[in-house]
Amino acid sequence: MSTALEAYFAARIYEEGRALRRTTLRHVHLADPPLGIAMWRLGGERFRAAALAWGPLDGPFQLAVPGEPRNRDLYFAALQPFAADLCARIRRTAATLVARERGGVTEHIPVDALQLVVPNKATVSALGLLGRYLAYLSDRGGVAPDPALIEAGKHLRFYARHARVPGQSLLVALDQLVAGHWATLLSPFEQANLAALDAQIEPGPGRHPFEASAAAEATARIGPEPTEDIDRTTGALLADFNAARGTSTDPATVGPLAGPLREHYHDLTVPVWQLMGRVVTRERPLPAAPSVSRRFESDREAFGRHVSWVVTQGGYYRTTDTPRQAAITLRRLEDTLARYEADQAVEDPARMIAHLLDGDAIRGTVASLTETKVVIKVRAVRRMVMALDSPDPVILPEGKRLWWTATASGHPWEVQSVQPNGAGSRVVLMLTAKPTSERLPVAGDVITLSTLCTGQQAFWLMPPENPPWTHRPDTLPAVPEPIDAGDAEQPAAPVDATAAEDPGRYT
Amino acid sequence: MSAATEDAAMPDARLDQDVVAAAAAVEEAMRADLLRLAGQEAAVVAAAPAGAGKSHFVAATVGQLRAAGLRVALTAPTNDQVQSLVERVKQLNPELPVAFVHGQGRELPPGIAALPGVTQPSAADAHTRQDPLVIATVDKLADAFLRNGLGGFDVLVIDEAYQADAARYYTAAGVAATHLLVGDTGQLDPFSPIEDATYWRGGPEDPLQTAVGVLLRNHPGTPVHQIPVSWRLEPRAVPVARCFYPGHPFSAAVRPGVRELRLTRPGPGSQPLAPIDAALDEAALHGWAHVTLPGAPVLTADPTTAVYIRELVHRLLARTAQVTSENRAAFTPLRPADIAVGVSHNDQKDLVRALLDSYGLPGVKVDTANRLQGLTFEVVIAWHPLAGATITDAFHLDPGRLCVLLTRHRQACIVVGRDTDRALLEGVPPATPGFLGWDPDPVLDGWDAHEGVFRLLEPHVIPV
Repeated sequence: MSTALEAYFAARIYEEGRALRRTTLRHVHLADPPLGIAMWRLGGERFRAAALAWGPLDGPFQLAVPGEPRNRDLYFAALQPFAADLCARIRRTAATLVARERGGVTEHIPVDALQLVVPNKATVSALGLLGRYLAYLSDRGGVAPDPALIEAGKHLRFYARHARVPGQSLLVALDQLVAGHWATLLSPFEQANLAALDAQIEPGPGRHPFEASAAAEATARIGPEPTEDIDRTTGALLADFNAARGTSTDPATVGPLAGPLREHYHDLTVPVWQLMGRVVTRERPLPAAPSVSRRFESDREAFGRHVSWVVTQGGYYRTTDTPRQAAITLRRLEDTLARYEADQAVEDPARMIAHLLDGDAIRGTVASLTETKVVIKVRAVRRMVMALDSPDPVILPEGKRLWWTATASGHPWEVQSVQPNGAGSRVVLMLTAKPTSERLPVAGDVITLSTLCTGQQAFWLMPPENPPWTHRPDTLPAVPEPIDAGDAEQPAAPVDATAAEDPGRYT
Repeated sequence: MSAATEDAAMPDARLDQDVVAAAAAVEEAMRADLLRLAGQEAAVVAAAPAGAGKSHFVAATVGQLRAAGLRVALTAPTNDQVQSLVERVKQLNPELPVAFVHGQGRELPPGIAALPGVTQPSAADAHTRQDPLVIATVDKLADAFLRNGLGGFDVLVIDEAYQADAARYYTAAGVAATHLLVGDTGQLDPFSPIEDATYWRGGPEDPLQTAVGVLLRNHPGTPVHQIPVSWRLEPRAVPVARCFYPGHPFSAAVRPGVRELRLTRPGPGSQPLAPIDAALDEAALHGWAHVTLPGAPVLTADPTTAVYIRELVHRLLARTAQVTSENRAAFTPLRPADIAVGVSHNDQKDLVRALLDSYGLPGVKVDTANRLQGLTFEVVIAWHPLAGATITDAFHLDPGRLCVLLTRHRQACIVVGRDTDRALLEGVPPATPGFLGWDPDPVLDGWDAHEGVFRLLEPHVIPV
């Protein structure tokens, strides 16, 4: 992030009274329509969904409300339609394959992948936790949970983990999508509120974005964490529901009793759903950056591998990574992040501005191209020297390597010298490879060079399968209890604040 | 500085012999442990403060291991570090053949490559020849192990082991059964630019824990020795350095007053130079100066700070500074190569570099803290990580970054910041996330270390 650019944006937004686009292109794939998911938790229960809405984002949503989510039977019964629908959609999407040639090998990957869209990053975490819970359910009391629940758990867990991949489009958190594509006056903490972000972009006539986002923050409820007022209403409705049902979990009895809770969550979800639809509709028309299709192909590949493992082979994932898996994942994520940042800047001039301001990139007119010979080791080789006139003063040390954006996946240019040139600078660079026409600009061209490279920097090998002794514990940890242990216990009774003992006595 | 070879020639009065003896005893204990464990799947950890003579200890230990007939792989995280290790090993063990295995374009500088007995074989050749002492970066060693089968060593020695992460150590660890891990606990931890680098934190699989961290987590019985000396830092520098090593007692080997930075041309010069000369005089007299520019929220690569740093460097050389120390009895001129400017960001580095180059000072080293780790200079000018910041964050509070910046010097360190920086640490520290199974908290530790450093530098503040 460039401090200079952020300061510029802040001043412009303040003056113009609305958020500004950070990009000229869309750097995320957006399906038409994606599958939207919105979720609500109980305030005191982070690991259960009190309500879950889903459906194609261009239409109405379906809503799963268990009533009492801490009751296993009610919880599973409510989630079953969602699980079954999610599994069916994923299987259907993964069924159509397309052949792909890579390195002389023909692979078959899904022609599409099911894209999930959620309002915020907190919902990504919530879905990950829900997936982790459902994927490892045990056959408690000899009664196996519905297989769709377990399969959906594996899917959600996959999606949440894949969401860590920079530039992925399988699970899109809309707050991150908007914050990535728009400059606003909101702090990083405030940007987690999708309604506040939306209000900065469309504050409404006569309203400054400050006022609009403050009003949105005060009134909009996005989830998954309930606000105090939601929890208070939910608590009262939940108490009525539990009192009315007694110990019953019979759908015929419980269904009608859960009506007020369903209505409560339905009313909460409607504005969230509309907001999600509005955000996606606003972003989709922006032209997709060229690398979006390549990144989505990687997403499809991962999606296909996942479905093959979980559906075809009935496989499970480990609950935690091995040291080897973690090491591989870290390296992949770092490589992908570097490539994603380079792709964005190289393809999108608006994205390059931050790098120009931070001194990671230079832009100027090619003044001359001169071929020369340099001795490398013992051989004299041909090299091209370019003089570039930048209208701005350039601060770059000699020896710095820069890639021309037109050949960002190829060979770098090395800074030979930087001299003042009027109000700007003349930068002399040498191509570090044999000069060929496709590697060279033409005198008079206005070009940009940056430290960003879109090519593969290094080819690394997989670490050994067996961990070395240093990464193996002296003693193995104890086997954990099942993830749903304790589900049979009655939920703790709510605490009556008026009857609680005076905490002052502990002082 | 090279410890044992030089201290033998040094007059006793220049060194604190109690401290020297305590350090020698710890080093001997470590070598004894290592030789006792050789051949077993076991390790010895050497935890050192800044300038503890780690490289010297490593080079001497490698010589002893080879003398015992053991095949050794010596590694460190960066190319600069391993190249310096080659040189150090040859200094202490001139007869020892050294095979330096490197990546493309990472050959040894000609001066080191020309040393007798130094070869630069390919990984495959080193494997075929079964070279008895191989030096390579951790990444290159891991790659050579996987690609070419270069392994089967008796002992793996890792220098800067607190900089090496568990992921890289995973592969390199397979090259030998017995390991010696040597490192500076105060320096920067391994880091990653990915958004949720704390994803694995607290888990045994965390790839970003240090090599020492993963080893001790899985094998808590591993002997850990604390080296109780700093050869680089002099007594006036040690109190500040101790802020970064809680629970690790150490002292300076050199006695007070042995080292001296003398500015032979007196200040102050003209009026604009007065504050600059005041800072240089304070640093020469006390070993520290904390220059505080007027408080202002500024860009990361703030031109005012960068220009001020250039003027400090330029004026320091213009006043024909000279130094003496425990191993140089006479005063010798301070050269540009004896000076470093330490910064936190690459754009700060580029700006200062360009400004110094424009004054014809290419010999002055300018680099970020993470690339200055392991290096020593006579004088360091540190661009304070919080200079002109409006908020504190984990990156700028990292105690490792400040530790590196304030512990590279032998004579004096001049810290450049703004007079509002300290106010950032007033009040309550920020809330930080907790991680099961992971005790350190870089933000709170950094908060504490920064506060301690500000307090200790208070007598040396030079307002501008």
